[in-house]
Amino acid sequence: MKKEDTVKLISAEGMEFVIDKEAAMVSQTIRNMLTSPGGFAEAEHGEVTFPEISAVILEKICQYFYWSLQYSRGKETEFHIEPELTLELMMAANYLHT
Amino acid sequence: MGAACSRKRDQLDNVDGFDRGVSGRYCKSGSSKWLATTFSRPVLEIQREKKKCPSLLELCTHKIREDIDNYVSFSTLPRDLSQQIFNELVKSQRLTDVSLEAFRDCALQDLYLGDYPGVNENWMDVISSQGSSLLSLDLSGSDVSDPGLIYLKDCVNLQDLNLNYCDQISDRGLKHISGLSNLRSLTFRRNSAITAQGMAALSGLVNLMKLDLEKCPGIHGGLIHIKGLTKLESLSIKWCNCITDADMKPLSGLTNLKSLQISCSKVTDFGITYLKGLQNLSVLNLEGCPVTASCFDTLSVLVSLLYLNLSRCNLSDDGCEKLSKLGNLKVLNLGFNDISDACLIHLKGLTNLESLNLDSCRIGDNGLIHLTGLQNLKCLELSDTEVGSNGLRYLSGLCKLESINLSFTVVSDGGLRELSGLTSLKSLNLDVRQITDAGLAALTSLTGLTHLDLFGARITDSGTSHLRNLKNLRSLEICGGGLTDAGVKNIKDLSSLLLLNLSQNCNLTDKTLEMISGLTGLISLNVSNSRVTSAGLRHLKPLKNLRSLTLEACKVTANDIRRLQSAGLPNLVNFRPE
Amino acid sequence: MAMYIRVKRSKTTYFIQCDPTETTLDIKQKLHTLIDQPVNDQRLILMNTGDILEDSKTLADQKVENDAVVALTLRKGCFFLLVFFFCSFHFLEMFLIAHHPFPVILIC
Repeated sequence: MKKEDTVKLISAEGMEFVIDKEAAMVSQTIRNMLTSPGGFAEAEHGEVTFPEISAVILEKICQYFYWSLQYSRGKETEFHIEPELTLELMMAANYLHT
Repeated sequence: MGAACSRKRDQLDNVDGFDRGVSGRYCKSGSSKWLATTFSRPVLEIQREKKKCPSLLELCTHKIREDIDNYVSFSTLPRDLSQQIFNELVKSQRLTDVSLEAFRDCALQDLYLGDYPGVNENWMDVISSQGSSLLSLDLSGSDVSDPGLIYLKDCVNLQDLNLNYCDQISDRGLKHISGLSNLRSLTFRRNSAITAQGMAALSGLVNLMKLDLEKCPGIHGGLIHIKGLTKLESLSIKWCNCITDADMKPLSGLTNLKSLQISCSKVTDFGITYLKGLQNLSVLNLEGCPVTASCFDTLSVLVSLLYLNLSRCNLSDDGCEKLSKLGNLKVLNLGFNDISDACLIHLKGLTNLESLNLDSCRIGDNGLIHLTGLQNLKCLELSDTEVGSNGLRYLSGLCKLESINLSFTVVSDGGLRELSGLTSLKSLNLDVRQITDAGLAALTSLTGLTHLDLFGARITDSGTSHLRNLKNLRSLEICGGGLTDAGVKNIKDLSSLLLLNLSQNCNLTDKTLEMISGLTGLISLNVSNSRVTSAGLRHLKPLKNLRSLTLEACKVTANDIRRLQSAGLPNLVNFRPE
Repeated sequence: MAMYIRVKRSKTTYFIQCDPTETTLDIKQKLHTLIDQPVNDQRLILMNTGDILEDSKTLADQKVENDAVVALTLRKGCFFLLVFFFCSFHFLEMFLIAHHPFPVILIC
């Protein structure tokens, strides 16, 4: 595991989530930020800040990224979503094209 | 076996493919047409997506669907998300008048509630709360009545309104939508309460591009009110048998009309003369109208006309030389007319034709000579004609042919080798009793075939070996009675199959079900009149895409099938016995 | 990757891909590449039990499952971040879940 292969996602409150780039790329939006030629600042620093996504939602999204990787490798478990998070999570998922 | 009887598919209304509406997911109107329409692409997509990971958005939507009763309002969500939840609830039939409340003031754009159970007056308040955001509303098949349409007054931007099969709506209801001048598409099929008087409400809908009044028997005299709707591009008044020549007059100025359907009306040659100014008309459906060859004079000046349906018009050879004037046509339907080989000579010059329907006409081998120059033909319908093996040689040079229907003709095995070079063929109907294994042997080169109908042909186990190369077959019917389990061996590896009909082969057993269990793409299976038993049903469990299963006259009960359905065939919606 | 765990330290959560057969030490080595702290200074605590993970044992041995939350504490110079010595487990859990913006340092 190398540091260059990870990316740091930062929530509205400043909480940080360090995840594999491979996982982050599950989001089309993040993939674009990290791979678009010419480069966003995000690509260089390996950090993306989401001023409108709370920590609890951002963590759930990271969990989804890893669940998605596992799913595509054949481990088809259920992804648990707490009912009280659904609407906020849906908005974030929409933003992240996830 | 008597297999070949009562199998004639309804040839009426083939034009529908041109203007399929937004509605019809559940389709109260259509019987089993869903198979034909949803046959090809969607199913393939389902298969491909099976392994695809659900997106987080989908997971959230599903979660909300599960606990929908806990949500009070979605009005804080962005519109596209509340729209997505709404669509999901409709799709899964979880939307009720109670859960609908959560969508109040959500600024939704599309409410497709066609044939949705329980939709009535009480739903209209929340529907109207979408206000000026609402663009498209489908209430077809609902119990909404005239007062319910008052609510739509606030939905001033509404563009598409579908009120098909709403039998509670009458002239009074129409009045309430008379101000919706942004409407572009309005359809209310099968409404017996609407009259000429009520149609006055349509005169203000100046942006209307599409109007569908199919099966409205009381509208005679009402078309005068749409005279000013000059943006109209599509008008259907088919199956309105009240419509007469006089009703054609108001249409004469609608020069933007591209599609006009007046089938099964009382319009005659005289009425057709009112249409001669419609220079943009490309689709004209006159099926079942009492017209004669005289109308070809008018039709020949319609420079844009590409599609003409004249089936069931009682045309005879009289005057049919005028057909030669219609040289632009791409699609011509002359089915079910009293025309003979003498008429076909006048089709010689219609070299743009891509589709020709001569179903049930009095034509034979000698007439087909005149078709040899129609090099653009893709589709030829010769069902129920006197065409035999000698005529097929005239088709052997039509190398663009993709579809030929020879059912109920007198062609026999010897003639089929004339088809062996037509390698563009995708669909071949040989529902002919005298065709046997020997005929099938001539077709092995047609590897592009996707549909092969051998319903009544006398195919036996040894004949099925000729099918092995037809790897692209998506639908196959062999119902002549001669198959046993041994023949199914040659079918079990045709992995593209979506539809398989092996009914009437009374020697097939559960072994057949076991062998076809690998055809996981199947969405329709029929093994009726066989020795299949309920014990064999377990072999069907891998057929996850199966939507229709017919096992009539087998040792299988409806309950057996229902158990199979709940044990793992969630897509099964249509089964017999039921 | 058979599974992943979430390693939490103050305001940062590390998602670490791993296998049930890997040892605690393996995990600490992965963390070392991310946070540049020697494995000897790391201490990992399984959150739902409060158990300190032992270097030589595997994750499976210690019931560390997919998506598990593990707290990371560090020892620096003479300061020990041995929060759990002083505080009840519940306090630890509270501060981690509340995502306190600053590391809580308790000196022994």
